[in-house]
Amino acid sequence: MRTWWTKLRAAFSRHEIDHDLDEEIEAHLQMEAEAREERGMPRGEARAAARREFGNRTSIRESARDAWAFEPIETLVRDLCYGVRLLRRSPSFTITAVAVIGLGSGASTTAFALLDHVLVRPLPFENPDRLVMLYETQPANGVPRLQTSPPNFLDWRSLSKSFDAMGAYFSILFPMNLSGTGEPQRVDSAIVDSEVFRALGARPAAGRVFNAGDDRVGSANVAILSYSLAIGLFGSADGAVGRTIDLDGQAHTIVGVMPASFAFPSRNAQAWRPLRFSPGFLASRSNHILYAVARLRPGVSMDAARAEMNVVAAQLQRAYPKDNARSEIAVVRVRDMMSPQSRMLVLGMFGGAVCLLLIACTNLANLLLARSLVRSREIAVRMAIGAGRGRIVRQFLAESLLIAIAGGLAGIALTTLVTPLLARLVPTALPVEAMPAVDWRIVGFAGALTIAMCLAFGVAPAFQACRTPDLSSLRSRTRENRRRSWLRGSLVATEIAGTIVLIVAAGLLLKALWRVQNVETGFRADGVLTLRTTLPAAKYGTSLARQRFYSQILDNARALPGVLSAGYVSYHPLEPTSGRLPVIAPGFIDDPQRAPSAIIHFITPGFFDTLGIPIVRGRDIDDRDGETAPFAAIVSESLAERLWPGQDPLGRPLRTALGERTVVGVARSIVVRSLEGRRDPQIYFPATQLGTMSIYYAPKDLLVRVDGDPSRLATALAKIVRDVDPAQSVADVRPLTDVVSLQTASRRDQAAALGTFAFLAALLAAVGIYGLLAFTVSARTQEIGIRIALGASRRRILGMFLRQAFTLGCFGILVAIPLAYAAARGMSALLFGVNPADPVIFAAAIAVASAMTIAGSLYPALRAASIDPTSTIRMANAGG
Amino acid sequence: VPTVDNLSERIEFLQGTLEVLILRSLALGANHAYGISQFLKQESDQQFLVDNGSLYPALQRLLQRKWIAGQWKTSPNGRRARYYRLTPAGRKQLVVATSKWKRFVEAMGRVLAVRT
Repeated sequence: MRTWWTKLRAAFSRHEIDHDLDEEIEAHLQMEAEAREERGMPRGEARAAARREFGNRTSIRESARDAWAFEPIETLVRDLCYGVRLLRRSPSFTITAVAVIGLGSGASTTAFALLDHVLVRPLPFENPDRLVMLYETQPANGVPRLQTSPPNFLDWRSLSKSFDAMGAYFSILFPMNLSGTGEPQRVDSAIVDSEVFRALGARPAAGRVFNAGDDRVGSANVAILSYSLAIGLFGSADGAVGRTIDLDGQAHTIVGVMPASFAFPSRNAQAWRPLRFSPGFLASRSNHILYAVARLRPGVSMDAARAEMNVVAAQLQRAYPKDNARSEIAVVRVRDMMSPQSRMLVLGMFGGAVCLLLIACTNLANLLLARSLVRSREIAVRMAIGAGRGRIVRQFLAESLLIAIAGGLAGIALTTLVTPLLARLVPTALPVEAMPAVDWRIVGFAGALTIAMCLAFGVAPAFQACRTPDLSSLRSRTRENRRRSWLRGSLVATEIAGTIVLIVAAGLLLKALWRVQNVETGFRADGVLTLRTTLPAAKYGTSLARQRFYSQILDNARALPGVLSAGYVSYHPLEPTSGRLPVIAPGFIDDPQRAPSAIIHFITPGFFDTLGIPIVRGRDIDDRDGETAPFAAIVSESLAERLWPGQDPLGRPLRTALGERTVVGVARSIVVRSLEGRRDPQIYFPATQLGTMSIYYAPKDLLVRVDGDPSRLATALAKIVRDVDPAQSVADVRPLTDVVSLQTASRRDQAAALGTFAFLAALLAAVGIYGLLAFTVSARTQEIGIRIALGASRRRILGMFLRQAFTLGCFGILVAIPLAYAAARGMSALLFGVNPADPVIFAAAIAVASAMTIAGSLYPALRAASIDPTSTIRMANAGG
Repeated sequence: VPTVDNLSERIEFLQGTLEVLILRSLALGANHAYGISQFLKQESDQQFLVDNGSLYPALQRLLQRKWIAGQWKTSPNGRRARYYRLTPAGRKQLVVATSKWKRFVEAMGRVLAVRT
């Protein structure tokens, strides 16, 4: 402590210390010289001997002075200042280096932000590791995870002891009309019971969450709002509590507001309403509509919970064989709900970014190595006047630290800019916010990365630099050079390999994307506009009311100029939440456990025409299929084939939870829920024959086919809806082509990200090759001049350098092929059936890498071949 | 005991040794850097080569710890030189260090003398 204080004081009298030291050393030298003179040495000689004997005066003075310095800090500051001066002297080098590092660290920090957000960071719930989802499964039918029925759920809850809380909620969000606060708007509401909040350990931002009283059938209508909705409607969370809003024509009291971070069951939820187990709701055990989330009791392991739920499942199988004979229960951690594709998507991004970062570092290491060789004269001089090896290494590291810090800052800036674009790569299945926030963790990662990079690309050149202890080694350069060029060459080969891996990955993803985009959907999306009008049950509870609404809208829409056809349907194609029910074909498939599930659509006439789906047998829905007419159904070809293989389906009966019907037509199959998911068969019922139980299936999506650009009809259609029912909300107005392209959005983002990485990698590798060869050429100018003077042909010189590039390329390719194949196998879940060893893509990647090698090497090789022997030899003489 | 030590090779200083030796040399009276190095060379029978690169930093460290103090004086042959002298703290430190070194040397000698 005292020494520290003395040093601090000394820092202000540094000049005095210097002066004293100088004088002291001078006295020392004179005394030494006098002693020698006394022994009879001539004066001049004595003085020189004293100097020799004393040692390196500057170095001794410096080390004595260093005793007073806060040594590490002062040297660092000095090194950094020197580094800044040096970097400012070569701005093109500095800018290149900082840009290269900025790109590399920006890409990997962004990928890390995503990875951290999706895979690492705990979910925004209390003790998220204890949080599980419970699903019904029917492995015998190949159904992995299914919602459960309300009565089954209540039995799970009462029969199990492993959980502190077990909450039920609807798997889908319910779009509702919010009115009474300005323009009617669509609000996506979740229906959850109070145990959901207990299980999640969720606390409101204002007011309260639901309690047991809210779950009771017949209690008052209450709702909880999302933070953004509360702000939008009332300006503040606190201001919303206690207010009343109108949802689908019914008054709801707002009891609470959730914080912005609460994204359950999905981040689209804007409001929560209580789930109530009414007698009607509990009627059927085959009504699979509820998801269950639960919190493990302290001390209960996942395995114990699974074992207990197996017992519960067995009890229910025995008690209700009709519905539960094949049902089991799966217990899954919430964190593991994400699909393997989503996981791969994120990991793939991260892998690509790391690849790019490595290439960036490699390139920079190479640049610095070249520089260290150029600077070997300077270093030799510095070492000759007494700089220690440690000082030189520190100096080099200080320089790379400067580059790394500047690059790291550029990288953080890049991350902040790019992260918002990543929202679509965050899987919607995960109850987290859409965007990873750039916070201290991310910045910390970038910082750690910066230091790691500084060491990665700074250490090798630093040690290389002090392998040149004096000028004499500059003369015998050949052996020294060979080792260096071996190191530099392998760095470049690594870059080539990394580039090939990235190109292969990006190429495979592009091909998979192309395949997904070219999936035969079975319907024509172009020229179709879609919009959603969710009819509130209270107002449109009767078939008559709905029919009036549909026919007015459809008639007015068809009367618009340019409209070719229009129809209403429960959910437009590629809507992932459309309902699915088992279909029984009496006499063919009677066992409900074996019945194939079909996606249910209630439709109005005009639906098939609008989407261009051909009716291959029988007839379309038409005016004959009124409310009281015999119940009709149209099945897809795929469903007909499953139910009545090889038979004529027309006129045959079928049965679903929605009653018994007769097949009147067969439609061409289409892709319903998603382009990539499983191919569910379809079944269509007339909207008139909806009944009152299944209001969920009431047609809500209007589809209009237009001659020309469909978007121009948006306002006209919204006006038509408003004219028919001013309180009715209109949502999701968009061309159907947008819906289709949204399906591949996250794929496109990922392919674009990896494509960008691959492009940058190729660019960097080309720069790397260029740098290596250009440097070799300039270092060997004299040698080449002599070779040419001695009769080597220019073609030979050209060949010599191209051969070097060729060798590097071959090494890179050989290393890359197994690596690329391993990477491709690793991401096969994302490839949509594309062969991970796709020969065309591998060939293309190798071709691109070769082209880039040639591009990078041609100019330096040509320059070598055009060296003028006379001028180089003259130069050598002048220099020597 | 066979000796492989090359007697013409000088002994290198162990960490911290030089500082004790400087304190010891100053116990005889104030001296300048050149004088200290001459003293050590002679008293060690030319075994210690005092490298100025170690001597000067060591003097600075002792100054920092306030174990010695420096003062510009004129030498007997009329030359201005910086004379160092022990401070009371330095004297105390010398006693501590001397007994520590004696114990160390004794222990080293005893261990090295063990017959195998």
